[in-house]
Amino acid sequence: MIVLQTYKIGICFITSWLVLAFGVPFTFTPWGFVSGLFMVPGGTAGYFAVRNAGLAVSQGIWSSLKVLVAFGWGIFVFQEPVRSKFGTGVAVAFMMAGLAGMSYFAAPSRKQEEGNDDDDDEHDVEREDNFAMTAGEPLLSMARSMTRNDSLSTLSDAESLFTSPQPSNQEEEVVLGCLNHFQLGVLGAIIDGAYGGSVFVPMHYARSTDTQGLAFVLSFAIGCSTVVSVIWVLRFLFYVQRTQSFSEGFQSLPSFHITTIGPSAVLAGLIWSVGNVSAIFSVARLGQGVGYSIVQSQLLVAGLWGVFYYREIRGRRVVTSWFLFACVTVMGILLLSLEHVPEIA
Amino acid sequence: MTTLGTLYGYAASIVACVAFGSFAVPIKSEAARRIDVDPLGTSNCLQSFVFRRILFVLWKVSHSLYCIVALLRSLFVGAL
Repeated sequence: MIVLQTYKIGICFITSWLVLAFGVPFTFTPWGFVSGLFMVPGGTAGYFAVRNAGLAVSQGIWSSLKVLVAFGWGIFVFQEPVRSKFGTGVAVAFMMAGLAGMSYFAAPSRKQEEGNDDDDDEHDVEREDNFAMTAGEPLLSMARSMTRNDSLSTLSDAESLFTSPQPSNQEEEVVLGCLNHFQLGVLGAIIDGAYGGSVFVPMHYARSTDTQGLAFVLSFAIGCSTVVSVIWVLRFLFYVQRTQSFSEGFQSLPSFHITTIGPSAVLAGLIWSVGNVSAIFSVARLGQGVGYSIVQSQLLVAGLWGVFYYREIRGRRVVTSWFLFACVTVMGILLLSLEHVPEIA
Repeated sequence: MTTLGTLYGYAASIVACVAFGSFAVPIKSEAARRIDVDPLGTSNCLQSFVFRRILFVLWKVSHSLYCIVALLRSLFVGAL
């Protein structure tokens, strides 16, 4: 997970300097660090959520919560102008319902239920991996691949909790305070949703300087890179503490697999960076409430990859239901755009 | 009336949606899927007691950040 995060954030850091070529002056605000503090731990919490509460419930919670949090920041905290708060609330409710529905019908259990033409376990795992990737979160796929190799397959167990009325002992086991595995996973998804919906909030507080809009890209990239670096250091210290040796601790750090996944991960990082710059620009132009909420419809695009390219979402009923909720999401986006009040130049 | 800036904003939103929804596609290449990036390592860290403590501290720090931002905002609004 940290490897792919490093590729993503590293490419973001390198490409962010390109904004200087477009006449954006170099400025830096410490609020970029705050954005990084929201983004990187948020993603980690999402990973934690998938491992403990399962993919469908985690993604359903965090994707709809991100919209709600962004809406809350934009409309109630920043008082961004909209035609009607009630109308905007309805639009956000449509988006949340649509995103949650899409997550639900794209879940592996739904696919297996309808498209059970190949029953062997290997194919099932492969299809689950495919879904994880098209969901736009490589870390989810990482969770899957690790589960396959991990004798303590907490992810599979946590997912069975969703389909089985009798939870296993492991999920019932209290692991932190009064929380068991599943509750901890739900908490992780909530943290991811709350943090993810707040990633560009610091940009609002940097508005008094020249660091808003595209100029924030640099601060954001520097902030995120710093946070990822700190995580590497923490991880290194974790291994040092475990092995009682600096060299062994260093050697225990994960490989970057440069020759195998390097080119793919760099390309993924480039695409993500384009999305990141566009999202920052969108939030600068449309505001936190409308702009960032619309950006969260990325689940729609990821799902379309799953339906048309990878053919992971199978079965007429499941695909129809998925498209129905996709339409609800699009309706929410249209309603939200109708509520937006353009700034007078 | 929709301004040009708003239209650019919507265009950027669409680009962001497409990019965020597609960035994982290259990682689905066969070469990438054959290997396990970071096998077990992150799993062990995440499941460890130390990591849970770190997560707990991060949660507390972030919560404090929220509170500070809310406090500053209330002070700022109050001053106005």
